[in-house]
Amino acid sequence: MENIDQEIEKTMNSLSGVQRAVSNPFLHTRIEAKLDERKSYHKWAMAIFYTCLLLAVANVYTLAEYQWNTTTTTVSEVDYTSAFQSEYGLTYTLTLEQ
Amino acid sequence: MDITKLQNQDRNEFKLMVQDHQDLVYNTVLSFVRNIEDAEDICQEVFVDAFHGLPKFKGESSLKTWLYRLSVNAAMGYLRKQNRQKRAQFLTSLFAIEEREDISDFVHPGVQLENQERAIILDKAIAKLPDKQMIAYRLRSFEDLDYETIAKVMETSLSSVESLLHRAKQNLQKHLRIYYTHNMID
Repeated sequence: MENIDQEIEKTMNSLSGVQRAVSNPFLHTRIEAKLDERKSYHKWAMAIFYTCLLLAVANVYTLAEYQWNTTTTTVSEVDYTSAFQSEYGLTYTLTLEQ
Repeated sequence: MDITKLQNQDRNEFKLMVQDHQDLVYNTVLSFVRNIEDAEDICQEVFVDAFHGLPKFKGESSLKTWLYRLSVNAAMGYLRKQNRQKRAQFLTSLFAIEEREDISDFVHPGVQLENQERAIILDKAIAKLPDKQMIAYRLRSFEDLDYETIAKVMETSLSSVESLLHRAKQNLQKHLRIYYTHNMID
């Protein structure tokens, strides 16, 4: 038991006086490379984002345009129908018998 | 070091910051991840994140404390990811037999030669501690930080750090007692 306590004590102290490890001397160069890499990635991401945004706006515009045209066409179609009916005398009146 | 220049992401000032603090970041990360290659990669990530975070750095804490915090967060993120991968590996190992590399036998390069064997045993016990106790203990034993700095890095109170370190020591003694009881009988 005493032996175990001594072992624990020694192991607990095994990190005392630990020296600092030396980092990579080329660390800064690598960080700079990563920063540039991210910068160009960011540029591409922004370009893709704005292209998508432009496409979305174009789509919305086209859809709005199409809907407006459809509405106009429907109105003119209605006018066409009544013109056709009057041209060929297809109009009728409903008289209710009393 | 000119904080304003750093906040404006001045590359020359940033280079000075890296040179002055690279050992601090590397050693902190290494003490957590216990793998030289991964520590170097994470160290680079910490500085890249620091560069992007510099405009938001208000100087409420010192640059050192801030870098310690970034390093600990990055290292803990790596450990969590590694744990998730280990769990997934465990599931696959149920269906396939393959040898797994044990990276827990890592010895910190700064540990004295006569202490290396014991340091491995202690390191394995530290890895079993709850996260907060492990962070406090590693910062104290590897970085030799005082309680106040640890409290600032962990964004907690001084009394919490005292309590965390006390409980960490108790838990480590428990783990080591179990270890030595089994190994001495053998």
